[in-house]
Amino acid sequence: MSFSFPTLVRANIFQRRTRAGIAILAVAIEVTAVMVLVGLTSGTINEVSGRIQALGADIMFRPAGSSPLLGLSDTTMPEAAVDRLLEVEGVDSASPVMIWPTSEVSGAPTNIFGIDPEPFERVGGELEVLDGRRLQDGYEIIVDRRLASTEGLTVGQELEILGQSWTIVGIYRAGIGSRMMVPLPTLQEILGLPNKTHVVFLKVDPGVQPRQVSSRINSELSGYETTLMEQYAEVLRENIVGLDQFNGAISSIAVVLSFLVILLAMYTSIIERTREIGILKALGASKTYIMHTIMSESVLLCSIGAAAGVGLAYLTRWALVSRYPTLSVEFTMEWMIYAILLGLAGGTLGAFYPALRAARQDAVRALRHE
Amino acid sequence: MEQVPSILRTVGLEKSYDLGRTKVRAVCGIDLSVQKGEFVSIMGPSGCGKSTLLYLIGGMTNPTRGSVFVADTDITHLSDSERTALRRERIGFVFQRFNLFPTLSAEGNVCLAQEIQGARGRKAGVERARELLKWVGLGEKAGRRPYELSIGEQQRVAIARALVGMPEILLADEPTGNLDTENSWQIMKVFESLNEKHGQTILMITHNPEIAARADRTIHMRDGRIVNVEEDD
Ligand SMILES: Nc1ncnc2c1ncn2[C@@H]1O[C@H](COP(=O)(O)OP(=O)(O)OP(=O)(O)O)[C@@H](O)[C@H]1O
Ligand SMILES: [Mg+2]
Repeated sequence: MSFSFPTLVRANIFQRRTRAGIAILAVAIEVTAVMVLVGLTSGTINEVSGRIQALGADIMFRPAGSSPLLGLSDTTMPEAAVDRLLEVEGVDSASPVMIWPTSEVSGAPTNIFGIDPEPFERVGGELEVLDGRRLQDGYEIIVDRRLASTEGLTVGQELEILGQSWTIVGIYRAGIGSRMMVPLPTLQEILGLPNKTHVVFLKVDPGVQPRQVSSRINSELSGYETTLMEQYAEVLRENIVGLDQFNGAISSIAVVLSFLVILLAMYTSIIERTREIGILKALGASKTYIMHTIMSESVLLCSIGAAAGVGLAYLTRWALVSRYPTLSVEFTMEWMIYAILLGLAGGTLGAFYPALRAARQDAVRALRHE
Repeated sequence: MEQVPSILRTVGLEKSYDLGRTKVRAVCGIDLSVQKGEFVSIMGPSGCGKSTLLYLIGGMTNPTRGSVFVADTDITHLSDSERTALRRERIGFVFQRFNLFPTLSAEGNVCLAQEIQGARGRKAGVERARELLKWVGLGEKAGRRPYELSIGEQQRVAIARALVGMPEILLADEPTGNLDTENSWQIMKVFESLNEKHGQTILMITHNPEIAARADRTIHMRDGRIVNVEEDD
């Protein structure tokens, strides 16, 4: 049998536009919702881990039991650990960093890094100053270009954070570590944690395997944990509890909703067309023919909907990012395909039951249906 | 007459509808035999069960009791799918209401029937559809939608559609019901030529005695039964 869309499918789609439109919209919204929500979580993770990896360090060193998600735990360690680390064979440089999450600047929680600029840059976090100058000491703060442009911050401006007034002395290229940095001693003092640090970033000697160095550290210093920076994105993903469940829940909700809408759209359309199906049966149309007609209509609508959904997802991302420039939405091919398949499955399953019912009904009863 | 095998035969055919407390006996005990090539008309007051009888013969619904034989097959023992296939292969239907698909043109409606019959090749299908429409006098109006056609024209599209597979049996439920005399005669001419030239067996319901008289035989029904049979020759 050569595959062609039955005559009625074409006529129905072009002439029953409202109904076709509703079914298309239901699938499109499902695809968009799954793509954008999943894209938002993975975009955020990749952006955060990308920024941390851009520090150029090979190993992250932190107190045992603390979270690799910076800013989530306040367990500290003595800054003296840095000296111990520098003695370990293979360690080239070490940079202590304190982290303080604040919502005072942009409304959304953003980490402030307390750094010692010299070791920080030696480890690899090259802070390219675009405007102003480098950090020195006291209540100075540097902000990255992205935050500066969304919040309209300029060099010389004062920022109110932790009950103190900080002067913006520089704006650096975005994408390294965090969006705001202050001198380490100042942050230690204001937090009442002199000579403490949250993490230490390490650079290993050229030609040395970070993995070897990290296991050496683990055997020489107890009470600490190390994370290889090349695995950071993965570690981050694993440490965000329930991320997969979250994505799963979001997509199930989207699927269930669109499934119901498509089911309803197809169901009412079939009730509307009961008489037509009766005529088809009277004319000798087999169940297969009737099912084929209804299912191809549904598959066609869902395909159009899925394509529209992908377009809508890109449009939504554009709108989101232009409204909130610090947001990152990343679409992965995997989830895009997943979202499309879910939409197609929802639509075809949604049409299947009413189609089967319609194909099975008594021809006379269907004919007399008003 | 007993020697000629009948193409259609009903034995003790009954159909009642359950309406909760009451039962409607639409057809009660009909024994009817129609020979191949016969043109039979059915008359009777509204609600006497004419349409129901036609639907039962066409296997569109199952009887409460009794049998329907098409050629030698008892179709009441067939599955729904088998009865549908039988209709597709041997029976053409013209409904009391024309039941055209409003979203399709006259030609599209006829092509749809061809598609159901499993006809291959769109181009050949369109040509054949045009030919059938020309034959019922609608050659010029093949591209029009049902709402752009008069009632009589719509009825002729329905007839062209029923003729797609040149079925042996044509079941027509008041094909001239809503038509004026001229349109009615036009349709009768089509039926007569089908019957005479192609030897089609026709069962036609009508309220018009003059139309009925054109058939070989007229069956009169009342309250679900046959009350009188008149040979019209
Ligand atoms: N689905 C149904 N449920 C209940 N009763 C029905 C149903 N279909 C038909 N009937 C009843 O069966 C009887 C016969 O109906 P049918 O349609 O066969 O009559 P008819 O002779 O074709 O009438 P008309 O000339 O008005 O078309 C009527 O009393 C009708 O009300
Ligand atoms: Mg009737």
